[in-house]
Formats: sequence, structure tokens, C-alpha cells
Amino acid sequence: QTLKISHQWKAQTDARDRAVRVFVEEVGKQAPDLKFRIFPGRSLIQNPVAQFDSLQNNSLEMAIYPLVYAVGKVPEFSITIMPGLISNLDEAVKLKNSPYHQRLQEIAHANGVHIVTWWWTPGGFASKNREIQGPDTVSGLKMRAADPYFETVLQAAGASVQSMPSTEIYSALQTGVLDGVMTSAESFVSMRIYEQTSNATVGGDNILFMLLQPLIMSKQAWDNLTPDQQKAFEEAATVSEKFFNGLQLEADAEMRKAFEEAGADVRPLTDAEFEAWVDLARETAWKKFETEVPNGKELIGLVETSLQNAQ
Amino acid sequence: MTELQIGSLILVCTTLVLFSGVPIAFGLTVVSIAFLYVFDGPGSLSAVPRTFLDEISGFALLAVPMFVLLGSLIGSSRAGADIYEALHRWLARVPGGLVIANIGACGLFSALSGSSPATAAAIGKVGVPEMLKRGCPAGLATGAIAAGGTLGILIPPSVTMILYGVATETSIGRLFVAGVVPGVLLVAIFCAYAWAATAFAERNVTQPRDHYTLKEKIRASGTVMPLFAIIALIILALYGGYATPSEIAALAAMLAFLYVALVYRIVNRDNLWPIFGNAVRESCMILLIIAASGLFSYMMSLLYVTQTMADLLVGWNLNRWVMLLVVNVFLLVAGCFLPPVALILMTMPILQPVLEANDFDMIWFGVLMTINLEIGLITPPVGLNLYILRNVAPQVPLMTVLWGSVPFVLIMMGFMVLLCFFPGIALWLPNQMFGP
Amino acid sequence: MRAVIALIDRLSISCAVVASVLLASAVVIVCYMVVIRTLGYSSYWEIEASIYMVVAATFLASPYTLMTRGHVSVDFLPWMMGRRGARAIQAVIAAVGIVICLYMAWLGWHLTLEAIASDERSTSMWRPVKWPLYVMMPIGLGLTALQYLAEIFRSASDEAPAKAPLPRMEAIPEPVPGRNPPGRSETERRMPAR
Ligand code: NA
Ligand code: NA
Repeated sequence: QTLKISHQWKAQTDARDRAVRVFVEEVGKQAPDLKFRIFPGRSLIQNPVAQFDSLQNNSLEMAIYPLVYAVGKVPEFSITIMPGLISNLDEAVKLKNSPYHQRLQEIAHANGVHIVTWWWTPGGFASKNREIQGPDTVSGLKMRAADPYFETVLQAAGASVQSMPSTEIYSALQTGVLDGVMTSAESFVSMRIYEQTSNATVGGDNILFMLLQPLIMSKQAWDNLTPDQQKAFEEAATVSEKFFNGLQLEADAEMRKAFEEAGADVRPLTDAEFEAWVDLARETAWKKFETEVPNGKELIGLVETSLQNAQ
Repeated sequence: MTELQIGSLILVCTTLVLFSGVPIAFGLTVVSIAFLYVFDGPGSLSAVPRTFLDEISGFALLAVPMFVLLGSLIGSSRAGADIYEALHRWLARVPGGLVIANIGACGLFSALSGSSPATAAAIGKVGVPEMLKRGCPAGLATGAIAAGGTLGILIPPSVTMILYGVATETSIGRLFVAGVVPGVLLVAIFCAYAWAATAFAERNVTQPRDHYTLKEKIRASGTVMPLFAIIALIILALYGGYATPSEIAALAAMLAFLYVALVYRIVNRDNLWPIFGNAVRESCMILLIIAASGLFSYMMSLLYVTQTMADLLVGWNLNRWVMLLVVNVFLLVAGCFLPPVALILMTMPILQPVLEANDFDMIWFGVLMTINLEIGLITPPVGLNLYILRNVAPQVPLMTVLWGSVPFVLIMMGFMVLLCFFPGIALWLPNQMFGP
Repeated sequence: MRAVIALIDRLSISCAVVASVLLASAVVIVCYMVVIRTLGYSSYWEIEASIYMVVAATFLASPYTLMTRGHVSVDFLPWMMGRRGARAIQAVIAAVGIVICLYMAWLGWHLTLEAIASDERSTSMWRPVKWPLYVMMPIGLGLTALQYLAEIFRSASDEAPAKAPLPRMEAIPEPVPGRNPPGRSETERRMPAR
């Protein structure tokens, strides 16, 4: 039996692609009868968002998939990007197997997918002419965030929020249709955003943008595995997480280098700036999530208590 | 069955089905569904409707119907006739002058739209009937526009190059700049060919060419002047940071509508229906073919045909230049069936490591590959630009359209060879601008 | 029979008129977006709305496109088979067309029902429901199958196919007197109309 794994990133160099290859190798050690075929860089499904549909109807077995892409079908998944809720990689890693993780898995199961790994990545701002610090510094800028909750926060901070597909970002920054973007740190490099921006606000311990982009699986395919195979998957996931988190440091350095070589300034958010952003997010995005999504309040509460218990 | 055997079967079946006279869009759908069903099982069919829809629900493709509308506005009103009358009066002394003007327009439109089918549809709609009316050989007229239209993905901005840049992690800015000189050179070579072909066809003619006085030239240009204002506005909107390439199409269509409505007083229903009826008819044809080739690409990728072939030739361990030749022949054949973007996404993960190991510059290869994929747009059985021309100029037989594009295919192939011997054609400008 | 054909034709034309309105609206919306962005306002629904409209226009225009021979094909086989063979092949092609359109319409219909049942939405700030996008596929392709049926009837009753409104291109362009291109034979100049 061959399991297809689809994702949107570059083969061999991207952290997610490398981590999935580690995962496949680990599974192979314990369950050699399972074969995998990886389709990197959108080579199977051109629209990354649509991978979820293929997982749901089991025409695809596995994908590396930022869960927020599926909020059109599962609004609860917005919790995996909620601005300022989880403030750095350490916190995110500690949430593995927490009540929050378990609840998220239940929601995923109810929607036909199974979360296999616990891969989190940080992100931040990149901007053309103005350094982005606290919320007051985005006022009047034309920004793209790609996620409705971040858009809510940016709009509340006075930015003019623009929606456009990711393929247009590069040209939009180049010609000035956009002044800045918010996205994951790796995308700054892979989408060559550093070529068109002169400031980046990323890194450090105060990260506004933490995103879960795990390896997920069709629930049907998961249920078809034997208990031994499932166990192999879980152990391989743990190995891949260790590898993946190690790569994050590497990716951070690489991004820093790319920006600095392009002559851009890179800085983290200070404690005060971060507090101001989180206060704003709490009033806007979190509130919106709590009122608009049925389990919203419960999920935010779960993250907060899980984080406290993990300390 | 091995992937290679499946691939050969797909090649044969697709060619047969498409040449049978089934509409291209439906033929590609039939082949895709049949192969998915037979070689991957009924389960994979559940992905079919979304794949089909996804392909045309992207923002970048909005440009296509809007540029088609633009072409229809100019082409179905008297505006098109006036423009070409003015061009003809200015260019009557030059052999093939009108064809040259059309190729130039394709170059300009390519620079604006980033989309090959949009360019071919907009210019072809106006240009082909006017060229035919003035006695230009049909094959030259359609060939020039089909080929000129392909430049949309070479001359920046280009969505295809953005995806190549993302897929290979090469600088998109450099890629864009690298496409400029080859794009302009190709325009120039196409023009030279048009001039030579016309001069050759008229070699035994003793009858003098039409002649117009300066007064006549200027009089014919009067109503066309607003058009230059429109082009200037569009360029300003794009490079001034007011609109992205996909949005330009809408602005252009809107301005063209105002132009046609104000200058030619086309406002009533009887005049508008031919314009809009044709626009939706043509964009429907183009977009359904694009949707179906998305499905076809999905099928090819799922069955791992393209990837297996790329893997295979990578494993041959050939000499550097032989490998480059084999890779290009492979892309040329695959390009007959697959759209540029799909081919880049499927093959680059496999080809890139080998190309880099052989010390080929990835920016240079990006330009080479783009020209290669452009050829695919004007070769059957799946040559989108050919079918667009076929549709905007139904009076020209398909065989004439096909033969007409052959010289341009040969020119592009020759240019690819030139690019191999002189990589500087692509790399000189980016190296000047960004340093080596 | 003739009445049925006329009815189907009229239905297809009406859909194309709706498609035209949708396309024009999409143009207006994108222009509006560019203007308000230049003025410094946010845009969040315009792109998706125009995509919905263009997709709808594409599918709604499909039956009319078929009726006016707008779905291009490569007619090598019919061309090689001669007049009688071509007619037989046309019938087979129409049958294939009906089957594939109905099958795709059926798949699209299931997709629509699925989207309604799960309240599937787009992932933007605007969050429009997805089913109006999906439902255009069964509508458009279903009507295309119907139009194929009309084309079979039409060909059986030896009627000429409908023509697209091509004001300047309907006829073979006649060379303008006095400006005749020199040096080409009469046959080359006169292109056969398909
Ligand atoms: Na372009
Ligand atoms: Na082709």
C-alpha cells in the first residue's frame, strides 16, 4: 500500500519537507510494508488549500497542512494561528499532548482528518519603508495578512488591509500596491519577500504569529492502519518533531541572513510592543473568535490553562 | 503497468481523442477521468470536481476574461478598424508592416498582462481580421499573434516566472529582469521574420505599394489618440503601484468601454450584445480548457508519469550538454500536453538538483525553460494559443493556423540554442543591475 | 422539434446574457477595489466576489458557446473521413459530450450539496458560503448537455447551426478595392469559411 503525502514547499531544503522525510524513514524502520510517495511543491494539488478536501474524501492520504487553511470548513482551526495567544516556540512545543492538543484532535477527527505531528513555526512582519514596532506603527500602511483574525487586528490598528493571492505578493510589494506583509518566517525566504522589503520584525521570544502546520492524515486512512502501524506513526512523529524544532533555529538564522544580505533591518518585538499587540488582539481577534465560533471561548480557555499547567 | 507504459498510453489516447473533433475542454476531461478511474481506482474521482473548479477560481485567471472583453470591445466596434486603418497608413511602405505592428502590440500587452492566452485573445480578436482584410497571408497573421502572445510569460511581470522562482528558490526579481532582453530580442526576430516573409511573398510584384500623404495619415490617427492615453494610464497604474497585473485587465476593459461608448456611441443593446456575447463565449472556451488541463495535470501527477520520466532521465548520468538537450526535448514533448505552470511544479523538484550539480545557472535555465514552455502553447494537441486564434478567426482553417505557427516554433528553438551558446543574453542585464 | 430547438436556444442565449452582466459587474468591482485602495481603504470582498462572478459567467456561457461552435476542437478525423463519415463522427462526439457534461454536472451537484450540508465557507474575512460557486458547474454543464441534444436534433433536421453575433467577422473579409495585396493568387486570398 502506498500513502501519498502532498505539500506546497520546496523539496530537500524546506524544513517541512525534510522533516516529513525523517518521519517516513522512521516509520519505515518499524512498518516496512508501508510505502510513501511525497509530492512536494504543489506538484499534486496546485491549490494548497484544496488538499484538505482530498484528505476528507480520502483521495489523498497525508498532507503537511497549516490547519488555518481549512477554517472555511472548520472555523475552530483559527485557534492554531490566534494572534498573541502562544508567544513563542517553547510554549508551543510544551502544548503537545495537553488538553488543548487533545481537544483539537477531537475536532479534527470530527472533520475527517487526524493530526499526526505537532509542528509549529513562527512568523512576523516584513515592510518596505517603515519599521514595524507597536500597533500604532502600522497605521496607514497597506498590509496583507492572509488570515482573517490577523486582518482584524491590523485593521483595528489602522492599517488598510488588502486581500490578494500569495502569488501576487511579490509584484505588489515591488510596485507599492502593498507596504507590508505578515506571514511565516520561512515564507519570507521562500517567497523572496526580503528582496522587496527593507524591514523585518521577527524572532526573539515575543512572537505574535505562531502557526501550527502539522503533518495530517485522512481519518479513514488513519483508521485503516493496524495498531502497530499507528504506534509507529506516533513514535516517528516524536522523532520528526525533535528534528523539526531543531531546524527552526536554522531557519531563523537563514532568514536573518537573507534579510541582512539584502540590506534590511531585522528586529524582534520588545516586551512593551508585544504587550500592546496582545492587548489589541484580545479586544479584537480573540473576542471575534469567542463570539463567532461555537467552541471559541472553550478553546482559548484551554490554551491558557494548558500553558499555565505546562509552566 | 509501469509509469512509462501508462505515459505512452496517455500520449496516444490524448492525441487520438483530441484529434477526433471532441471539443478540447471535454476531450481532456474524458481522458483524465478515464485514466484516473482505470489506474487509480474510483476513489480518486471524488477529487475531480474540485480540481476542475480550483483551476479557474484563482485571481490570476480573472485577467483572461477581462482582456478578452477588452479585445471584444475594440474588435467588435469600429475602433479596431480605425486603429488598423491608422496603422496601415503609417506602415504601408514597410513590407509586413501591419504584422510587425501586431507583434509589437503583443510584446506590449505581454509586458502588461503576464498572461499568454489573454494576450493572444485580446490582440488576435482585433488584429487577425484586420490583417486578413489587408491581404496578409492567413498563416503569417495567426502565427505571429499566437507566437507573440506566448511572450506574456517571458516578458515581466509573469505569473509563470513567479512560480518558477518560488519552486526553485531563485530570485524572482532577477528572473524578471533576465526575461527582458530575450523577450525584446524575440519580438525583434519575429518582426524581422514577418518583414522577410512578406517581402519574399511579394518579390515578383511590380505594382507600387499604397501611399498616403502626411495629411491622410494624421487624419486617420485622430480617433485613435485616446487609445494611447488608455495605454499610458494602464502603464502608470501598473508601475506606479496602483494595481497588480491581474487588476490591470479590469482597468483596461473599463477604460476601453468608456472609449468605445464615448467615441463610437455604442450604448444600446444591439451594439453591446455582440461585444459581450463574444466576450463570454471566448472566455468560456479558454477557461474551460484551462480547467480541464488542470484536471489533466492532476491525473498526470497522481499517476506519477511526468515525475518518473524526469527521474529516469536524471538517472542516465549524461554529459552536461547532452543532459540539457534531453531535458529540453522532454519538456518540449511534455509541453505539448501540459500547461507551463503544472510542468514547472511537477518537474523542477526532480530536475533542479541535477541541473545545479551540472553547474547550470538556474536563472538562465528559468528563461530557457520559459521559452521552451511557450512553444508548448502553440503546438498541438494541447496548444491553448492556437485554439484561441482558431476561435477569434473562425474563417481561417485550423491547418493554416497550425502551419502558420511552425516558423515561429523554429525561431524559438533556434533562439534557445543561441541562449545556450550565449547565456549572457539572459544574464547580462540582471548581473548589471544586481551584481553577479 | 423545431420549437424545442428554439426553446433550448433561447434558454442558452438568456444564460449568456446573464453571464455578460456578471462579467461586466466583475470588471466594475475590480475597478472599484483599485480606486478605494488608492484612497487608503481596506478591501476584503471584492476579489472573491469577482472570482465568483467570472466562474459563474464561464459556466453559464457554456451552452451558448456550444450553440455557436465556440468550444474549439481539432477536426482532423472528421476532415479525413469525408462528408458522410464526418456526420457519423459528429453524432458520436455529441454523445460523448452529453455523457461527460452530465457526469461532471452530477459530480458538481454532489459537491454543492456537500458544501450546503457542511456550511462550507471561504477562508477570507468576508467568509462567503461556497455553494453558489459550486452550483454554477451543474447548472452550466447540465444546460450544455441539453444544448448538445438540441444540436443533435438540429443536425438531424438539416438546419444550419446558429451563429455567434460576429458583426465584422461573419463574412470572409473582402479585400478592399484599390488596396489589393499584390502578388497572391485568387485562391490564397479567398479563405474557405470552415
Ligand atoms: Na508578462
Ligand atoms: Na501544446
